[in-house]
Amino acid sequence: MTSARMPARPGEVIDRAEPLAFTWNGSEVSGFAGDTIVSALAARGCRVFSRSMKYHRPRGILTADYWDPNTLLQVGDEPNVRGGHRLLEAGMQVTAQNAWPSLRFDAKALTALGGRALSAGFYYKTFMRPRWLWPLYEKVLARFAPGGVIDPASAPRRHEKRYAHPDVVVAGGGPAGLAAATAAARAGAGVLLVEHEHAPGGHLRWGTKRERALGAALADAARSVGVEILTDATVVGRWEDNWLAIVERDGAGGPERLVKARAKVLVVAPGLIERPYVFAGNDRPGVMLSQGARRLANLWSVRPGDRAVVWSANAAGDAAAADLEAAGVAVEHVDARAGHTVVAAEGRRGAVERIVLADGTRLEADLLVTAAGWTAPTSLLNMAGVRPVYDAAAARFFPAPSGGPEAGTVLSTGGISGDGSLDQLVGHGEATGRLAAARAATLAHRLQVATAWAAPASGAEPLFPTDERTPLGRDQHPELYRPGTDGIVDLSEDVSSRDLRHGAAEGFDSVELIKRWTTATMGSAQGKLETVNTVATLAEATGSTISEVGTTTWRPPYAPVTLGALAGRMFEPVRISALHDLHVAAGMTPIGAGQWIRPEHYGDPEAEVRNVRANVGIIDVSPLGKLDIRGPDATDLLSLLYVNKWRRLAVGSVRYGVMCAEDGVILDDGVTGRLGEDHYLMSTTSSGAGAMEVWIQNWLQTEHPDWRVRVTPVTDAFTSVNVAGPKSRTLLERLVDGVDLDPEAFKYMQVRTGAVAGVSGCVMWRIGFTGELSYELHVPAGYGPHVWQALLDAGADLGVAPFGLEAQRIMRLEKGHFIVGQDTDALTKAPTAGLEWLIKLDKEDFTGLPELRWALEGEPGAGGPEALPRLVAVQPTDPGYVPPEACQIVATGSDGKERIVGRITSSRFSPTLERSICLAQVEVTHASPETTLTIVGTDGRRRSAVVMAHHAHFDPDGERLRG
Amino acid sequence: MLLVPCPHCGPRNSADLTLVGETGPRPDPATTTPGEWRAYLYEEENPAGWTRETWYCRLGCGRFFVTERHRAENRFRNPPLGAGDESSDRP
Amino acid sequence: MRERPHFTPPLAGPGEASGDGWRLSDESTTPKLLVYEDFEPGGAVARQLGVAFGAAVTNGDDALICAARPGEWLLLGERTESAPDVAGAVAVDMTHGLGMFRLTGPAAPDVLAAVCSIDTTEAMFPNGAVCGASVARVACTLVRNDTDGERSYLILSQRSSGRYLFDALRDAGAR
Repeated sequence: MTSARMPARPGEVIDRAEPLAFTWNGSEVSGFAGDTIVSALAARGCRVFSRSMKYHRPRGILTADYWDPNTLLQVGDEPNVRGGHRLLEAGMQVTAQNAWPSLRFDAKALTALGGRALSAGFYYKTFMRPRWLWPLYEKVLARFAPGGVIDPASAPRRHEKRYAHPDVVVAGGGPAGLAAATAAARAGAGVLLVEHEHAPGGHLRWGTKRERALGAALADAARSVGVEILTDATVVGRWEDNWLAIVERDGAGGPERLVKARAKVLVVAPGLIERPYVFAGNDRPGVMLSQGARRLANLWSVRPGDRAVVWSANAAGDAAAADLEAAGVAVEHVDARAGHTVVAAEGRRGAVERIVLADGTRLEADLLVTAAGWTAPTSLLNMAGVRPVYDAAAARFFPAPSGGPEAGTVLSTGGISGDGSLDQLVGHGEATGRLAAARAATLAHRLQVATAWAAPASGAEPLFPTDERTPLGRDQHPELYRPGTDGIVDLSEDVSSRDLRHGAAEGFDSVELIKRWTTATMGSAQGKLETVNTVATLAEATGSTISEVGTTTWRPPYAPVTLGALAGRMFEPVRISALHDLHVAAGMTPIGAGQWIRPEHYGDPEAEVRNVRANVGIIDVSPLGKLDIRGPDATDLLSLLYVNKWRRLAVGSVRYGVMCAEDGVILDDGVTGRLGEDHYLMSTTSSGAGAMEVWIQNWLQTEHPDWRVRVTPVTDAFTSVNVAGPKSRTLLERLVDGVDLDPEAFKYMQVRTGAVAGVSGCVMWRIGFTGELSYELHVPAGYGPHVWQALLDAGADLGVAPFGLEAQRIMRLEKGHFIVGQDTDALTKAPTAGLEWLIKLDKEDFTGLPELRWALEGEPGAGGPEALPRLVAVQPTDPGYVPPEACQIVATGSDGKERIVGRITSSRFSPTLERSICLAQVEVTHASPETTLTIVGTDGRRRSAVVMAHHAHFDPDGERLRG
Repeated sequence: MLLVPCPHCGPRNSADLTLVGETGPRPDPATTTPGEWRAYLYEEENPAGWTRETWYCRLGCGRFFVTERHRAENRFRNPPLGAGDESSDRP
Repeated sequence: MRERPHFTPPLAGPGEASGDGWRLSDESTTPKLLVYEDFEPGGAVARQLGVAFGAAVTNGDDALICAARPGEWLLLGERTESAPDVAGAVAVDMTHGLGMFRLTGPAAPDVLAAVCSIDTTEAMFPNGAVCGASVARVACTLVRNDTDGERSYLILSQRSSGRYLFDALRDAGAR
């Protein structure tokens, strides 16, 4: 490799005093601070950077910027790094992608011999049949898949996220964007300017001395008036009400960050993107766009070639010719405006040696620079409902003059809007900035007036000004797309003009269809370089115009985004009870239950069960949903929510209740205690607590706003502890003040309020989920740890020990209590769970009443309760066999065929009964006691089981808990 | 992300709220028929035009409210920031 | 002899953290009383508390009255004598149910911006503003409550999320 780096030149952005060593495919090389990876390698004479995606053709620099489709590289463990954009860092390990065994000798390039074998739709057509070969196809194709290598062992990267509320966001920091930002800030707006490149200035950065000076002055002016400038950042999407996603990329400056901005006005000023020309050999290394050549020469002092043909249709191309001459390149200037046309670039593999013109002229050159026209990246405007409209005279798309209902808050300026001198572009930018600031002021005033907590807005609403900007003109430009020879249209996806023509001939003749059939515009350049050429090729193939074909829909993201950036920082809220640290100290095995972290057990759940049945245990049930309900109409609310009756519940008593949704499906259950005449404490399931609060508020606010009742979620206000076991009363007698615990004074299903371990304001109710004598204590949460420790200390001689969720689940299954969401599902209506006795159809109203009436009394044409499955207790014949939950239950019909008649919903080994026990949902025909069922195990074996007479496997009469 | 006009808080990100669904009357449980009740449970008009819908200000004021939204254009009858359009009759 | 009950805060370690331009402290022991508007028309409770939805005002006895939801007031302070004396008024003690953290300092808005979508600029969220908001995906009540002229926010969440929330805020500040 020979060096292409020129001696120091004015305007270069590299710091020659700071060399940076890195490796390229294992070789030690170096560049300078300020180089991109590609400019550093180009300075070393490197011309081939990758192999193309399908045909594995050698590829070189095209644009020398973010959009370059040919310079995606692997950097260390990071794949698909944009080498034309990423700044060089010392120690980078850079390798080529998509080449095996090496960039020079790529075995996969053999696919090119097949040629047509990889034409558009190849995968669709070839790998459809036979289906059983799919796994093989997948293996083979995976080896040919493009892109870099992901190292599963690489350290997770940091991703950040923040919110912003700027008045004006300017997308693009070229002359018009900078002028707009400065003018808006001068008018009093808070302005965020987002620049794709590493520095503001746009194309002025690689322009003449005067242009560079103007760019620097515009950037200085913006900074001096307080514009916040994000560089190496992109507005990747725009949604309703100017909700913007801005990605600050992961460069030397820090971690990748997603900024979620709510802008009042968005100014779209991305400039123009140069469009490649489609001709034979247009993807050879050495064929470069004018902007790429100018960037290499002027920003990084890299001479892109020795002998160049510059084919130019515009001033940028002419400037490239002048820049190359200044860089010492021998230049042959071919003027497209004079009708001269390039039809082919020829040479040995991986290089340009000759340029062929339409008139047959052959020009010796190692570099072809094309300046064929521009693409207006209108994506952000399209996302706001503004359609792109093609102007043949200017040979590019422009935003439609009027857009959707929100178009007034999305303005455009700069090259995307039109052409003009630099003064005219800056003038248009300034006018746009002033308009943006004035409109933002109107919206800021409206926001302030409408927001309850905002400071009072001063004065009248500022006028929302009309758009009185002088529009930019449009330069004439020849329409240059394809000279008749075939070349590559989409360099990212390796789609040729021939592929597009064949696709059109096969019937994929609309732009949206051809895009999906050929994958044109779907690669790493995301249409920025190839969309208009795709449209033009299709127009040519179908005999229509570019206007008639139209463009594909440009959706977010504007530029590719890493998944890490979108995920941002992970926020996974975790809830813990006040007793959490005590559980950890006691050696709990934790289990996640929704957001809660709970003790599953403390070592031996079966021992915990035995201790509760023999002595006394305590369990932390703080996640249990708790709602404080107060007011004269509280009883009406309970009657509406529950299927059962509440009017005659005495103060000091608790009652079990079931809630159904309006479709009769069981929604939640729990006990509710009447603490006073107009005061209840309701408990819900732990998992349903949040949803129940919303459910109740919905009924109160939308159906019964006149009811005098207040519902307050107090789940976290109490540490809830269930004290269970035959010795629970003895334990509590040692700690409770102000409550008579005598079984005659404090009966089963009653509630009392008193002091526990010196903590007053504790609510105690006597219930029995475990089937034992038990008291549930609701203690003000800050005193929870104190009471928990007091229970353990005071009951040491009684054998008190904590038990976890697993022991509780075993014991409730021994008692046959169902769990909503475990033994019921989204189709389980209340009668299925054996709740007919609870449902009171004679109530005036309750949620789900009509459905439950039809379920119990029969619905014309749809049957009655016999249509519903039943929840039954089941015991496998083999007491040692615990069928996994969700196992199917089958029955053989008279036709000899097996069919599913139910499933196991809960199963455990009962240490109390020393046998397996289950709950199951089965069809009513298989629900009678002593019915023999057939369970299909996960091993496929059939095992028999018997339906029990009662849901409770243990103490069906409840003598233990009533004692 | 849409700004939702919460009548209490003011304009809020739609992620702060829950769209409950179209607003309609609940049939009288005493007299309703299966057809009418199931329509109430499961059917939405979902017109490509204006519809009345209930929102729940989940992370804000905790209130349920009814508003009108154009479901094809995804905008509210009274957009929180006005039409923002030059042709709008709003000053 | 039984030990005297002691209040356990939501946090395990020290209830303080700080960084460049911000300080975070646990104030969960502060008494908190939730008061509802009275049922009968006339608004005696509203008249006595006199704070409109969206505002937080310190009254005579140093309790901060936060109107975080329509028809509700959260009274924060060592004394809650400001609880209205209205027959039938519903008031629920939330001292134990809510965690409460204070984020103070000139960088406090930047720390919040990493975890909360509320616009905290002066015009949109001035001192004495209160709203419901998601903070690090936890439903919170956010109060601007400057101390000695210094920018300061109170952040209240359900107690069980408190430890996670404190860690998330500290982490946001550290970055």
